[in-house]
Amino acid sequence: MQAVTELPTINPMAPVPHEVVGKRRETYDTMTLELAAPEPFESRPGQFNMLYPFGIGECAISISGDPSRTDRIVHTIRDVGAVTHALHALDIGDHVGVRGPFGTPWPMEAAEGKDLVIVAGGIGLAPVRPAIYEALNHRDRYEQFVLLYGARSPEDLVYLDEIKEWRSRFDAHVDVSVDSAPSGYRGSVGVVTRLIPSADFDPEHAVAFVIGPEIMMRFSVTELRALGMPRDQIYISMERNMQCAVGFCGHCQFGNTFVCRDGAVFCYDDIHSYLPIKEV
Amino acid sequence: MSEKKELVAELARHPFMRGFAPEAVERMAECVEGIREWDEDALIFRAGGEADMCYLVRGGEVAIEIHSPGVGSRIVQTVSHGQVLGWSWLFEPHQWAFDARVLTPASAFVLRGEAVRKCMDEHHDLGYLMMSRFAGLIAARLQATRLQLLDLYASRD
Amino acid sequence: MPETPLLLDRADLDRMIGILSERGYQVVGPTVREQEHIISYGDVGSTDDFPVGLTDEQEAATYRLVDRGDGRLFGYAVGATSPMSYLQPSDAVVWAGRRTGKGFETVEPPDPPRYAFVGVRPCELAAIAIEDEVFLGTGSQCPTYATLRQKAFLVSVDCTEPGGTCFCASMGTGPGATSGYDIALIEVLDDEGHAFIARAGTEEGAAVLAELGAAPAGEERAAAASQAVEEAAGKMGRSLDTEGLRDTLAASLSDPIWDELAATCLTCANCTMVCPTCFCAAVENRTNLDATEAERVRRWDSCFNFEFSYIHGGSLRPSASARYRQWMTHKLSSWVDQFGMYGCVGCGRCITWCPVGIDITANAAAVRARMEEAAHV
Repeated sequence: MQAVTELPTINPMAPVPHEVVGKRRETYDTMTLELAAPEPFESRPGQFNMLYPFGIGECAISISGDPSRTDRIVHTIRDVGAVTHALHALDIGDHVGVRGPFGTPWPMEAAEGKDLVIVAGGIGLAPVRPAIYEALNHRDRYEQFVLLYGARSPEDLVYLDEIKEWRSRFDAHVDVSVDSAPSGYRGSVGVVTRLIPSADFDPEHAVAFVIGPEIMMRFSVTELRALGMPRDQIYISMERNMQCAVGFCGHCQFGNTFVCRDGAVFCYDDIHSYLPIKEV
Repeated sequence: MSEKKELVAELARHPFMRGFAPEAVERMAECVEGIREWDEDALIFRAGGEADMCYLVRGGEVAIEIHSPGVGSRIVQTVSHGQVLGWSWLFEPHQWAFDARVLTPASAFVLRGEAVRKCMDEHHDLGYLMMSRFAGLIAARLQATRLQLLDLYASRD
Repeated sequence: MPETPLLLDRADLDRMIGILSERGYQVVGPTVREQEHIISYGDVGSTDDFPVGLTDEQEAATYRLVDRGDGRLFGYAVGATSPMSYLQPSDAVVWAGRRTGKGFETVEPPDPPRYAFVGVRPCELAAIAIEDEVFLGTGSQCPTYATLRQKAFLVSVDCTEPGGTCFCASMGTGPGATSGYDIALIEVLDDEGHAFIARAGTEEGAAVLAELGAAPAGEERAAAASQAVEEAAGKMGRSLDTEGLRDTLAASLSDPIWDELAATCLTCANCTMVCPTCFCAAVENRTNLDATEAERVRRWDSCFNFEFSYIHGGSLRPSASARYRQWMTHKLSSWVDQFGMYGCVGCGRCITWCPVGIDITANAAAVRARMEEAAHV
């Protein structure tokens, strides 16, 4: 037997306890958890962690905080199942297991010197918020900055205070649209893809980060492509069943990729042929 | 510049008119009843009302609403600068299907529906162009509606 | 490494089992599981535990043990299980912890056993090499697998009588072992009697052979044995044309042929349970009743299970056809992109153990034919 001479020193399956130091309700079903990082936590926009409320189970949650703040790990979590429910129930001072960061980042450098267009749908704003922070922290690296955010209804909008702040900047084009709203709502209503043609950017010299439900991403990409944006300037973030996050468990396969390690952020050019195939 | 020429020039700048030949714009201008402005919360038209006008929005934002007993009024779409508000004037029985309520002070070119239809009948090139525009518009809204129907962001557990 | 082949007899093999036990190994090899009447890996105390004088008749959806009427120990093709059951066991604990106040701490795992496998087929060695790439290759490394794997001792036995569903010759993984073994054997039953031609692949393998004090095998006898292995390549019950197969399958994903190929598939997952390379596993978190102790286990899972692709909202592959396509294209196409090799070693188990006899070799050929036909339209 020749293959294994040195044993791995890190167990990628072992969760590390982190203390909950902040909790903030975003919407009726969504909450932001802030964890203290015992050691500086280095992550790149778009990466995710596996969160483990002890004894309950584990799930993949995108990092939604500012990557320049390494003392805190921030996650925005929608309550959709047993594990996310347990995460919502955590109190300040409780510990939660963390593995990560995993996955590919949004390619911030690819957008440098170009317009950066971010199209986010639903809770998809959370995984792309680190990229928004990064871009606004280094605003001079990009030409136009465009954020188009769609949600189901006004009560589903997350990060409202920050969105107002971003909207008030003279150097950011921020548009929000909801699928439907009660009468009296003052914002734009309609699918988020509708915001794309009227946004202020040069499709040929722009890079787009698109994230949200798969169909929303497909239609957003269609709009971007119709404006003339090349496939290799569009990035999308895929969601699949992730259990191990390191390519061992096989659940997150999408075509020839493991979404956990080859994604979740993909260049559209690399995976576009899989998207229209049913049940890939 | 005469008032009419001014109107034609302004109409020509509306995004909907992009690609229309000058004489086509002129013909459309003939159908314009005027430019109207509305305050916040004004009702431009009401579901069930006679759809006798075509609105090309110049500014502000208008909500297309539907009222459902027990649910209340819901906004299904908003229309703003450069877009067309309503197409019921184009098809029988010329009756609005939704309410149009002004969200932020709005203005629009108001075209007489019957005059536009007559113009389209008499000038088939213009009629074809208009029909193509509206078909594209309707297709885009149908697609958007389908996406809304899927309720993509809903939790499904 | 001494290249001179050595000659062992059955008694030497018994002594080898003893030596390996003394060296701290739990010796594992092909045994007859009486209840099911199949060959499967199990604990081996002596050569009597091997399937002496038995062979297996294998065909699509068919497996039967029959008497050979001779004393061969390894006169069958492959059993239902592979060393993977030991090296990547289902229910492997990959992490354990206990609650401490508001937090928790890691509990160090006990030392894993050291396995010596005697009677490993070349296709199984190839499967282990594939698993090495999956769990120790370019991505993250799995310490659970690494520990078991590092300690394992492998005694292979070349094939001279391939089974009806075998196609290792097509996959380049057999019938003879070329690497990955500590000791490689060829079983010989000729005019001179029952013997084993042995060669060492590692220093530890050489040390074990040295301890046996075996004599060199006669050149002629060793050559005849090797000849029999080479000839076995021509006796495969199946074959699979791998030429351009990665691309062919990658291009076939939206072809309706998958509905046809999977029409009889019961999504029972048998193929994935007997496959020596299928590594997909569910990560499960379990606790004791008062939730003070927890462990994380990797339990064998299958892409044929409905929940396998589940994300909130539902299964992404509800149809049998999509699940079958996922499995087969993973084995023979995306595996190449992921790990630089096919995920199939040609052992034929998936054909044998499929209750409806779905045949990966026939289906690969069917997809090829369909895609060629499509290209000419």
